[in-house]
Amino acid sequence: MKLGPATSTSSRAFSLIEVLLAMFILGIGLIMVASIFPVGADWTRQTVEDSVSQSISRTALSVIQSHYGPGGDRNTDLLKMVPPNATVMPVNVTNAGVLQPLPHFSQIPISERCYLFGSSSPFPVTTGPPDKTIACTYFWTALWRLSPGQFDSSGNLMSSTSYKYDIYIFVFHKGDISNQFSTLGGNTEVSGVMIPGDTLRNLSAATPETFVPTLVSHKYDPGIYNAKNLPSITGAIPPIGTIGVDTASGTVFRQSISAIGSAAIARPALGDPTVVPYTGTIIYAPPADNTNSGSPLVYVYQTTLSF
Amino acid sequence: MNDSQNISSKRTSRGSGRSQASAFTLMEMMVSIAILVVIMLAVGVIFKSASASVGISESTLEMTANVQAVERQLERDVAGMDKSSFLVIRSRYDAASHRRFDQMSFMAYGTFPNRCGSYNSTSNFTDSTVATFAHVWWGQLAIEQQTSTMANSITPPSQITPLPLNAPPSGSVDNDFILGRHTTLIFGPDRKTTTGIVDPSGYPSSVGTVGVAAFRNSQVANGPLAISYNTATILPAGIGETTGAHITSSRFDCASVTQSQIMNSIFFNRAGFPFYEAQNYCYRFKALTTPYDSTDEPKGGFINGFFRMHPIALQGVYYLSIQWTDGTSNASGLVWYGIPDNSTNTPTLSPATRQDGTTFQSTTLNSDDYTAQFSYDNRISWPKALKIHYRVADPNNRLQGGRDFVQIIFLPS
Repeated sequence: MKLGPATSTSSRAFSLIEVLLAMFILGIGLIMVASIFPVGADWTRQTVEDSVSQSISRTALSVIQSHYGPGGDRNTDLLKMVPPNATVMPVNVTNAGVLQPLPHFSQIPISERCYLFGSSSPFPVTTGPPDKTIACTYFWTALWRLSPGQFDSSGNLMSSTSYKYDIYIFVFHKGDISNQFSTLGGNTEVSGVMIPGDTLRNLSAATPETFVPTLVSHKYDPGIYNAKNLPSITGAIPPIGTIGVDTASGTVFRQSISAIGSAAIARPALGDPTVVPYTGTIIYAPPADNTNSGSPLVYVYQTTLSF
Repeated sequence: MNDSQNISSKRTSRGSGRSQASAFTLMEMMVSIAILVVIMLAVGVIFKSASASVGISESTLEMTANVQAVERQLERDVAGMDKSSFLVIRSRYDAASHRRFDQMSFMAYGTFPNRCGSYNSTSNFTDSTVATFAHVWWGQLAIEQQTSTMANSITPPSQITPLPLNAPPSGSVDNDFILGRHTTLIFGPDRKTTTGIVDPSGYPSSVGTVGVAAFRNSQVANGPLAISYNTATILPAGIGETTGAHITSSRFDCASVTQSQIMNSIFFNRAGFPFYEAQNYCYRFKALTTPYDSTDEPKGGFINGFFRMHPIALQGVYYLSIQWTDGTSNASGLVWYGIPDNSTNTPTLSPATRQDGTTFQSTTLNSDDYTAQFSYDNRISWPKALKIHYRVADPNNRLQGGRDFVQIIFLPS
């Protein structure tokens, strides 16, 4: 009886080491492939957030119109801020062109500033006794300013029968109702956005959620780039990937990483920060731990109203 | 050396001097397979989790996109709402199924194109026909009876012997319910000439004055009774179509009347019928009538032209509630009138009087659980905003129970 040729290399079997090495390489490959899925899922999540936030923003705009528009319970509040109540025209308007909270914004109940997407009653959310705490996954606040183009060369507001207002609606989102919104992280709050007494309800906790998401104003900062670090950019404000609003131009942007590695405002550009560092003031929401990643602010809806 | 000696010799040689050529032991194979299985299981769990997550996100995204398309259309319609006309909101809660079927109707300015093609090659009512004023209805459609074997069909109503005004559409599964938008394009009387959009030749002289138009002779053979089903007067099949029926019972209409003519008719008729607008202008099956003919004398009940189309806004909407606010607030926010969401069919908040002091016409109408009617003569009492609550089923069933969306729409001042 003759067996096959013992010297043929093609008949050599793999050793355990070889098999383990191959499986190790295979495992690395699979892990790398699998790592793509969370990225794709994150993009999809962002798209869902954007889509839901658009609906919430339009609802928020109607709530603002219902309160501040003609016949609304806060209509006179807005008219007090600018003419036609003024007796002499043109007038110099305090803080003209500056984004600021709607007057008496706290009069809009918190139940109308929250949205519980996924529940059978998303809006307005139900208040819970005894402290009017609220359960929600989305939260919105708003800033306004007189639209540019209504001022003369001296910066005085020109006379008109009605005025246009730029409205910015900021939508915040937390991943689950059991999560908590971010703290301020020691930053300077945009006055009037966070309303004293506002509390949200964390359904999984015994005590109400302490913090309501709010906005801060800060000088734009591209951060420090170091290719050897991970992440390569630290200290960027707003953090990479998050949204901000330039207070001077009103531009809504998302912070990204430029082709040369430094932080750059992605869209639309406010100037190339790699050539002339942009030093304007921006409004954004800091991450929960005030670190360099993440922000509960997921969408900014900008529109113009005329009252 | 015999064969057994040869084998023994080879085994010795491979075992001692050529270890790289040795075969796997059973233990090696089991360890390798076990490791491979663990890796595959881990990867499988990741894939399954990622797939489920992406599937839910895709369903949410698709549903949100569909709802947003409806929201934008509704916003456009409401933005053009004409307060010189009327607004009717009617609510119906089906306690047995916990489904809700509200509807509303109003008249609006805007751009309302024909989306159903022309009747024939000589018709002036073409795809490019656009009206700037329309009667708009939003609500739940019903699946029209097509064949005896068609599931979820209902016994279709006729124009004069309808189902209860706000009867819920029938259906066994959530995805059967259809949110619809029905528009009647309003054209002035000058468009009912032989060269106009509304063809006067369609209306038989035996029924009324020639000149009050409709599109098809067969549709109007019995005058206002023509919109009936499974009879000789059923909508005939169009070019390229094999059946006269279509999947919804709504119609796309055009009318050779003006807004003022309609309102004049309402004005004369509402004295004896306080809910005249609600009964005649907020209706799932009813075509808009022509109250006046070319002599501007009331004729009443003559239907205008109607056409076939599929006015489906969104499928799978099995809960649609419409509430309204006059802009007043309490500690919980804006006060919303109508039947509260997810409650019984009891309207808990209904103002007894209008802001102008007159009696507010808000009560039940036939099978309605709530009816609110706003007209040109009480503009101060019109809503400041509407709250629309959609509950949409996921046809892929990834989102159990569907998802709820709430839209607040501010009415023009």
